[in-house]
Amino acid sequence: MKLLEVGQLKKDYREGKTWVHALRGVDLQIGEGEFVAIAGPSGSGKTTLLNVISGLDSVTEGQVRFDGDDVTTMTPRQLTHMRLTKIGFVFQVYNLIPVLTAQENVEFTMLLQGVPAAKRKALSLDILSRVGLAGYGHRRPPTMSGGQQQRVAVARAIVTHPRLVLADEPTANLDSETGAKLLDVMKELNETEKITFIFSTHDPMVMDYSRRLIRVRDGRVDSDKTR
Amino acid sequence: MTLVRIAWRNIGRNKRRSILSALAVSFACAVLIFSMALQRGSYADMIYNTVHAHTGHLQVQRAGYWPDRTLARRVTSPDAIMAVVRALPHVRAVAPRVNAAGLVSKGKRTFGGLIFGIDPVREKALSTMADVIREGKYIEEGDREGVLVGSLLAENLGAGVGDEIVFLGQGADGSLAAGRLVVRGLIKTGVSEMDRTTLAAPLATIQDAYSMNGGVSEVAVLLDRDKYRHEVAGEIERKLRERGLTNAAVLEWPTLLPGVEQSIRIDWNSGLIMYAALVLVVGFGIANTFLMAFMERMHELGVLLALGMRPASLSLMVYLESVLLVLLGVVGGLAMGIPITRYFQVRGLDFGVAQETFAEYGLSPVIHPELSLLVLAWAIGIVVLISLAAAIYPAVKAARVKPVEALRHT
Repeated sequence: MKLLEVGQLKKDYREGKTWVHALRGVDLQIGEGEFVAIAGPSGSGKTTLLNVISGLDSVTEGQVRFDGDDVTTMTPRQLTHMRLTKIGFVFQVYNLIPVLTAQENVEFTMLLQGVPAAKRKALSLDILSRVGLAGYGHRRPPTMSGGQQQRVAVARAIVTHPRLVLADEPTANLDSETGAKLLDVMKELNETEKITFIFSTHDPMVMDYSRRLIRVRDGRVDSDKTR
Repeated sequence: MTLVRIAWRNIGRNKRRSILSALAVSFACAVLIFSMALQRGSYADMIYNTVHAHTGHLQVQRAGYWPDRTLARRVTSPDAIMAVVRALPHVRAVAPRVNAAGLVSKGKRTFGGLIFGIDPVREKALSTMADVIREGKYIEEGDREGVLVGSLLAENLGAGVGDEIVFLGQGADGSLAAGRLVVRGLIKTGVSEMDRTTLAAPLATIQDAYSMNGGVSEVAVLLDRDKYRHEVAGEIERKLRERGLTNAAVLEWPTLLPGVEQSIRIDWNSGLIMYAALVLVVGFGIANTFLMAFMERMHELGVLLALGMRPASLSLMVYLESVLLVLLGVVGGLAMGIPITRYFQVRGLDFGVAQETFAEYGLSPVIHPELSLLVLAWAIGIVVLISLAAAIYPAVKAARVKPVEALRHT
């Protein structure tokens, strides 16, 4: 079953006085439970594609259907709700809230969803344990290593059981061993929870872990291979 | 974990900046508390000095006497009224008076004057007339012909202590009122209008000369505190009604001296504008701090929006940070402002440099700030209102943050 359908997607934006054609007609279909890497050089349009899929950025032309809904026609409020309930994010630089503990960071999206405190606590401790951070719940991000912070970010992204996790270069700031451990965690979650993962990456290791590799170049899909 | 808790922790991110911002609010709040209390204290002194100078806190007059002050509308039974008033709590002194007008002459010089008939003993207990004698002495009990003359009037008449003066006017019944008086003392109140026109002579002498038939123009009442004024006025009215003295009216000093109350109101209101301007300057500083704190976290705000936080919640969170910081500042301001103000409320603030000037007019050079709930409410109100208004801009900006643009911030 198709979770995401992107048709003739174009995105132009202005940078200073010049127009950048970030996406020039992308066609893509991603099914539920896939573990996909979108690879390409800098400026190829990977991050823009993830931003448009999640409704963080608007489209210039084309279609994005996610979980049966047309993302391009949604109101900002609907997009916010969609991100809150159906999409998890893992960013390159962890992007945890530094004033919150690891557990509170994981609880944050559940707080926004209105999940009761006791349930939030139980779920967050459970998910931290699953990403190998049992006992780290009280730590604040600045006191944790990069790998630990990224695992908290993964826990935050998946704790609400989203349909899709978008991970923008999640291993870029990690050494290869930590990156591999993180990918193991995500792969396991993909297999056990059937959560769909889409990565944008330069990292060959991420590409190796992925069952499907989509290469983009100059705002277009260059190749799309499933192993 | 709530937005309040997140906002609270965000305040602790840059402790030095937050402390400085809170201190700015604290300082503004403390300055306002002290200044407003000082202002209220000076009003209390002004009221005290005004009511002690002449009017008293209250006056019992015949209904219809005020504001024309026609002699014919006199209080015919002053002793009965004074007996009622003296028996009431908070009443410190009571004095009957006749307020007459006439021409005052010495030799060939003649000037218009306001001639007060006073009971020297009771008047001394009520007003500061005895304290503002610059030359000569006060009228003694039993003196029938002595008179106190305003220093400027005496100068105009060319009269000194021991000189004779004559007065001429119209009595309550329309008859000619005339008499001869001997200057016992010269008074200087500092209010040129009074010093140019005032004469104070024994009550009986003026009553006789002006055909008052034992009546008086007013019975002035001095209380131990101005705050009881309204309550005592009501009580006097009630008691007089009970005794059938229904043609008497009780007037409070703001009615008798509308200028004093108006000048207090004008001074207070202009003070409020000045304080608001002061806090506005602080407000700009605070707005700058809030804005800096907001801009520094732009990327993080983008993340929050990406995670599904609604712009309104984000705006609320940013605003809550400002609210908490301002509240911290206000608590600090109260902690600073109240003890300092209380200290000077007890000890008084001595404007010793101007001591001679104050003393000349029978005023105390020491002002006691008056801390009250009104002062605290105004001080806190102004600081909170302007500070929180200053925080609106960052909060509005937060509501308009575009997640994708915010995420590009590093």
